[in-house]
Amino acid sequence: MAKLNVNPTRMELSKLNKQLGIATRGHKLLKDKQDELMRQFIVLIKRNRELRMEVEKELEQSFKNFFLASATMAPEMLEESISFPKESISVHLSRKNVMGVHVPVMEMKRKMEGDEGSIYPYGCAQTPSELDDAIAKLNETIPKLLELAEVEKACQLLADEIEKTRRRVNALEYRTIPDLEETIKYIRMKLDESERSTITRLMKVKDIIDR
Amino acid sequence: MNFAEIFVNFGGVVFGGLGVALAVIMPGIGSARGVGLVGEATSGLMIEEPEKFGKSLLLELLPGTQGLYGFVIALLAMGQLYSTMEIAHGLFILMACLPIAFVGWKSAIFQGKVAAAGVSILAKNEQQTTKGIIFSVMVETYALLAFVLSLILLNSVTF
Amino acid sequence: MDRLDFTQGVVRTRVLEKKLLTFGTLERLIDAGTMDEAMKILKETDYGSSFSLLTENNDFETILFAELKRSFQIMDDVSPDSSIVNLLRLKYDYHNLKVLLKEIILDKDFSHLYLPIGTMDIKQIKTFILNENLQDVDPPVRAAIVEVLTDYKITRDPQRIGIILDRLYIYHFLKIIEAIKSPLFIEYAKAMIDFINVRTLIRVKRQKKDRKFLEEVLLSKGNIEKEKFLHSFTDSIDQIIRNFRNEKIAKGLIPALQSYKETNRFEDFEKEMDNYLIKLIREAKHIHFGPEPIFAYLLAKETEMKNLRIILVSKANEIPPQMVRKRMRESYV
Repeated sequence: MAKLNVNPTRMELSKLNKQLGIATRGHKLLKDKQDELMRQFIVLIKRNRELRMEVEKELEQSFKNFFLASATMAPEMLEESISFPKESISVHLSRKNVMGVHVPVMEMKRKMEGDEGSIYPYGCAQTPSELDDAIAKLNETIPKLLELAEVEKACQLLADEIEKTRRRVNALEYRTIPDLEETIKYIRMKLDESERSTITRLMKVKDIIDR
Repeated sequence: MNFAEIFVNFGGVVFGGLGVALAVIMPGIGSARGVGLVGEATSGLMIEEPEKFGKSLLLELLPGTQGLYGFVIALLAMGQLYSTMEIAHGLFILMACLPIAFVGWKSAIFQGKVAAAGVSILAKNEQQTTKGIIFSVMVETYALLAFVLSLILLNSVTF
Repeated sequence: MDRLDFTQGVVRTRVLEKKLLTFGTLERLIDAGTMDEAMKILKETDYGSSFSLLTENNDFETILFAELKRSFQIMDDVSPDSSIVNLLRLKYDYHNLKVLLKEIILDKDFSHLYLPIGTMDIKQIKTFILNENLQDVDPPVRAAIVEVLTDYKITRDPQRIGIILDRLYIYHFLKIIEAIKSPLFIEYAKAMIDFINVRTLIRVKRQKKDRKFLEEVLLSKGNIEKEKFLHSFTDSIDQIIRNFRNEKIAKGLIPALQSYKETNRFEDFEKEMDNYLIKLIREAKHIHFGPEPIFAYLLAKETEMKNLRIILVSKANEIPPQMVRKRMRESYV
């Protein structure tokens, strides 16, 4: 705690008082913001965890199918089967404002909307059917994967923001406000002191005059 | 001298000669085919496993015996030939040669096939080769029967 | 073709058959603790000769491919008639064609996907296509190229490249087989077509495509009529089992369908299919004169490699031995 390096004048005092008022209000607001961010963050983190588990499980299954497919045919043949995809997927990116944080919103656009059976870009006679399963699974996983990306990025951004807000709150709570309070106290004391000395001086002068 | 006279005078020796020729030609062709077939099979084996030459030689020789039987019958029949033979005698010699001629021809080819299959046994499982040899010797039985019959026929009737 | 011409080749094949991996070796491979251990076991077998090609990243695919190539070369030498070996090379030809056509349509470089064990010179075909001069290409292949390219111009559907070439491959395969005039080959090809068709039927149902698509991808010329599959399109799996109960391939097909019904997965179906076909081709063991043993040997080699790939991929992915054992195909010997 260090008092600020200011002149102990009435002017400064009222200025500091005003500053203190603002700081306290700001602190309260930031504290509220932090709480709300925290709440949102916890919700997102939970969702993130759920999604991640789901996605990981699904991907694992898909990879298992892929491994099965790869075990029964030459790798070149496998790669050839999927070298020319039929479906193309694009992602539309926009942003959303959560407590002053811009988080991304991803939206998937597929060329073959509604034609679910068309994701397999190969013929049936030469490919093992495990490949179907693998590709179907991957296809199911993609929306979730995108959502996971979205949520995870949001979490990161929110975490950053929370960190920043907390630093501000802490700065206000443990530094600015105590400093201001101390300085104000110091100026008050100084002013009181000088007032007292003036009174004493006046009393002394009066004494001399009276004598 | 017209044809009929030649036929009557020399028919015997012509038919006898035909019998002798057939007894050599037919089993000879058969044996050549059979031995050739087995030879092809064994040469396939020699490319991969030349150390099995001894056993494969045995299989290779089996279809060759028919040619030998035919040759023996032909020699015996030839001993009975003379230029003024009666026609019946000549025809009889021809008939006596026919069993070994036909049976020798066909059985040599079939024996060749069995022996070639026996080479497969030799290739896959050397311990069991004897069985392959036995199987192909079975075919030999019939060539042998024909041979014996031809032999008896030749000597059974005296003119 | 004279069956007796194959006598020498058959005996040589018999000797080579002895060098196929035995059940015991496969078992040892399955039980091997690590990839390195498995490779060590493999090195002691006939595959050892290809180990010198191995680069430091220990990629077993190099060995498998080298071995496949070597088997084809040996059989080229053994077989007096090249059509038998070419019959099995055809699969790789059509694979190369697929890669080539996709390369041309997409204007990308897929050269790492070619499998150089086909009969055709794919580079030459590529220049022919690029110069739009297909006169010197083998007629069935030329027809295939033309059909795929015109079809793609109209539909713009890459899946159709695969579908058309798969179909033409099977028909080309059948055509060669019919020329060879071996009842065993014809039975093999027909059984394969039937199995593929049944699998296609179920796959199309699973992919939720319509009947028209099914009609498109079904292969004709099998033992079972195409109509029968189309009729079964809306049937449940139980009904399908009943429908095909009396077919020639039922002995392998019914267990395959049953296992599919129980697990809803194709794993066992494909295994049963492979097993049925290899059992069928085992007939060649009793044939001493004719092209069948040569064909059977190459198929046996391919099955063996499938098994090896399953084992080695599983080793790399740390799949427990009992799971691997369940997937093993029956071997020819």
